[in-house]
Amino acid sequence: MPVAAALVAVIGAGLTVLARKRIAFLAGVLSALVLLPLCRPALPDAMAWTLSAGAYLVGTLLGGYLLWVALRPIGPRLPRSSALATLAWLAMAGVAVTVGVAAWPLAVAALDASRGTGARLADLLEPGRWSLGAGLALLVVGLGPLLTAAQPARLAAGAAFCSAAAWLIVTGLGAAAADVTLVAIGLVLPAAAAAVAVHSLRPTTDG
Amino acid sequence: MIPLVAALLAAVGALAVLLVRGWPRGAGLAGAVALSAVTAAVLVAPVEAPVALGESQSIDAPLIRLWLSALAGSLALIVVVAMLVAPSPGLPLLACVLVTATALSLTIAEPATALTLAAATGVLALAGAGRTWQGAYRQAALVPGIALAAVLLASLAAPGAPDAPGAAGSSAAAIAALLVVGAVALRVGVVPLHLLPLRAARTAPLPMIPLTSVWAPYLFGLLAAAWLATGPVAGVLETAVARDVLAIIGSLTIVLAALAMLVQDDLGSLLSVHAIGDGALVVLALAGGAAALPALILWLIVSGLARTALAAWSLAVAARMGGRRISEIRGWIERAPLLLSGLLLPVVAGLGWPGSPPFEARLSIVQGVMPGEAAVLVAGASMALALGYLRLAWAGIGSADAVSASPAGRRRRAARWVAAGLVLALGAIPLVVTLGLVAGDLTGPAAAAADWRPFAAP
Repeated sequence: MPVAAALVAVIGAGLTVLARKRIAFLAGVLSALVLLPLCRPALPDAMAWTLSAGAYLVGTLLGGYLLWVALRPIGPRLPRSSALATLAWLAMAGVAVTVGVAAWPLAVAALDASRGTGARLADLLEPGRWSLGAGLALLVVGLGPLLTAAQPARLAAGAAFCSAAAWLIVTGLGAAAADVTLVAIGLVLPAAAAAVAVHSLRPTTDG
Repeated sequence: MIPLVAALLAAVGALAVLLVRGWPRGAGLAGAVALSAVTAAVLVAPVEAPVALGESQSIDAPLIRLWLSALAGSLALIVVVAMLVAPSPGLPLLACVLVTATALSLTIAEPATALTLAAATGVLALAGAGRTWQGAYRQAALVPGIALAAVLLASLAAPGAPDAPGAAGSSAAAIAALLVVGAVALRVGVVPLHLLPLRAARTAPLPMIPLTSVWAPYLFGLLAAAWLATGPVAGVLETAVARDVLAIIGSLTIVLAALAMLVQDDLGSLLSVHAIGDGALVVLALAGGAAALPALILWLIVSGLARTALAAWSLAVAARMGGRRISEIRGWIERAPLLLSGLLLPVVAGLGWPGSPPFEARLSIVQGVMPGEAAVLVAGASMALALGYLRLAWAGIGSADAVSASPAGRRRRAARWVAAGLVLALGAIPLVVTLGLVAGDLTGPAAAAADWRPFAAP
């Protein structure tokens, strides 16, 4: 389950970069973010986690709606970006996933020598490995084609991707985040999208 | 529990503003009522024991009450001033949302949640920026992720963690501390990261500047400083190199801001440069560790109140004179004499005098990280930020143009006088703190042991 969730996040990040229509962009953003609570080694059977994951889901869906509001003024098609740049960013995201998956044992051993042997012997489906890879891919996409874009909705997605990437990377390395942290991460997309929605609905914007 | 109630009241206020957004004065009234209710609740109700929120806790402390009452009270007044001279639903809505997020950030004991929420609040506050918002937004958008990564990374290095590392743990702690310092630098806008926030302030509506450039960055700075001083990486920055680097960055920002204040021609830029200069004291306090925190808290509250009062003054003057550039407000004293006191009160309160709480707080933060002469120079530069307002007074002495003499109806004149009175009242609030009537003991020797830290163990 955690590996599948991380793969969905990577595919969603790729779709966000490739999207030419706003519905595809929204689908990419939501699929990149919505399964984030599942990217952990073991899913706890606790009410606190369930409530936090539920709150995260509600926040992310609200953020998706606000992104939709921000995208309304520009119509169903998004402004085109260079095909070469898009391919370059996708390639970098792919490299990031590969590096994360391959270098996970080294990173874990560097942080905690006592886990070094176990990390080296871990199989390819070790959840932390894929969390790290997905986190690095989201970071590349968030910092690159999203936060450097001129289109406001992409900026909001970039802010959310950077936060999600931070969570995925550090939990992949072994940090045990409190469940309530998910609620705060779930509020980043609505907060960022609300700000850009306000500016998108104004008559003029400026780069 | 009371901070949670305050968050709920402010959220209900935001909802009420949304419902009546088509009627700007009604929206302002709804926002002002909600913010006043928050102020009353946090001032009147006694401080309570922590309440469990799942695996985390909602904490309550005198600091949280002081911060929330200062924020909600000053925003309630500026909302009423805006309602009288330039009504718009945007300010009350954003003010209520900011108070909600601030109450939640301050009361949640779990540091990753609190810092992420405070950083996200900074992104949301940029909804109030003007047409040049995108650069500042990109800068602020990095902060939630950096803060989250830092706090979670620090848990890998925490001494109490079962997989407690040795040297690698120290590296993780150092990286976490550096990430938080970077996040504070981005959020406060220290040199050279000041350019984009300053550019955004040039086009931001004047009453929004306390939200975008003052209270939101200060909240993140306060929580980051508290976490660095009391969290698992406490002490990491208390090395000679770290202290020197932070001292240089903070001092340079203060000195350059003092010089920049002298050449700003726009009221929004003037407020933003002053906020950056005051906020740079957060960077100095990071180097000062836990000993600097009580002074930092007091300083940020006084600075926030004074900046809000000056934003209200700017709004009233710009509305009266028909422009926000200094060249456009020539002769404002002749047109609105009551606003002269409205300018002087927050400027004097922000400056303080030897023995007054903000003066001593500023001096103790600076002296905590640098030697005698340099500390005097930097503290002097911090006070010299106020010299920028001399140009406003000079412009006010000149003769007003004919445009601002256009006749106004009785209701409009009454609204202007009431707004000027409220600006005066808003300017008196920081003066109350400066006179030592409220929270003066926060900089005293017993303050370090007092229960004021947001992340203190209950």
